[in-house]
Amino acid sequence: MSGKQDKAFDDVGSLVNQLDLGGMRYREFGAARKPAEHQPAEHRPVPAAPDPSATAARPQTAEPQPAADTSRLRSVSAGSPLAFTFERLRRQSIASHVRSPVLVLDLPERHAVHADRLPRNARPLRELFAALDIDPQQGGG
Amino acid sequence: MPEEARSQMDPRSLDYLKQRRPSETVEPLLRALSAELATQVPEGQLRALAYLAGRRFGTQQSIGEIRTLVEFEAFANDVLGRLDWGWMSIEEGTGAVDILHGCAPLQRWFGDGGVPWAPGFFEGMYAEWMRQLGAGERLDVRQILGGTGSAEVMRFRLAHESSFGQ
Repeated sequence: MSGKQDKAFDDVGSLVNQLDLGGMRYREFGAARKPAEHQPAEHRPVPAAPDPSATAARPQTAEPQPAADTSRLRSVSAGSPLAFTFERLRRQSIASHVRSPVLVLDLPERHAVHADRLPRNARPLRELFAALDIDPQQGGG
Repeated sequence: MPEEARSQMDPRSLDYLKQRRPSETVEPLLRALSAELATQVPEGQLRALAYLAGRRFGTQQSIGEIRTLVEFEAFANDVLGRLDWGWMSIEEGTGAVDILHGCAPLQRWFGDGGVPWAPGFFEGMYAEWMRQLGAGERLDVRQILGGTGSAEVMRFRLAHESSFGQ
């Protein structure tokens, strides 16, 4: 793994920690990265030792990439802190440092954030304002 | 600061005060202006004036693309922090959103005489920002007296206008 890739994943790990979204480890194998593993928040991210046979020198298209398990990500609603985080990761870390990354996110259930369990103040403002714009005197609130 | 006063403060206020850089440049002028205004203008009108000044200030800030209260909280704290105007945090309840604003420098600026009307400035500022973010005309921001547990923290509420009564 290149130094830039290392830095990208270290950035991701520290951001995940800062936001108390759990911890993150990463490993590499063959031409593709193994799933990033989320750990409980009390575990510090532990980057695995770089694999000298890693992908940096190989064309990314030489071997089939593992399918990314994005099913959990689809349950993260737009505007939620988690969606915001992933967007930041994508824009700030992954996109800027890693070419053709395969980042497989596997969120354990207790770290998964579903729309109906979002912190209240993470609701989209449009929804929030619509909910407030009901006259309580008319029995709507 | 006396130990007793410190122990009654919101911990966020203590953190904020540890970091602030006191400046006395314009505060004496503001206090004199405020004292003079208080002798010339009724309190209700001063509050309305402060509110309009807050609305105007709100229009001067580029609020950008904000989609959630979390993002708004970060934006507002960035503005307040840069100007040394205190800290804010948001509490979302049923039918209302409360904005807690701690360590506002109003007393430093306007003296004790400004306490009844000067918070109108922040009322106007938050009202303007909420309007820019898409709050409808019937949603209003008003100061709610008490209920913060700390004297240095003000509470503003965003809610439907009818929930405030007269």
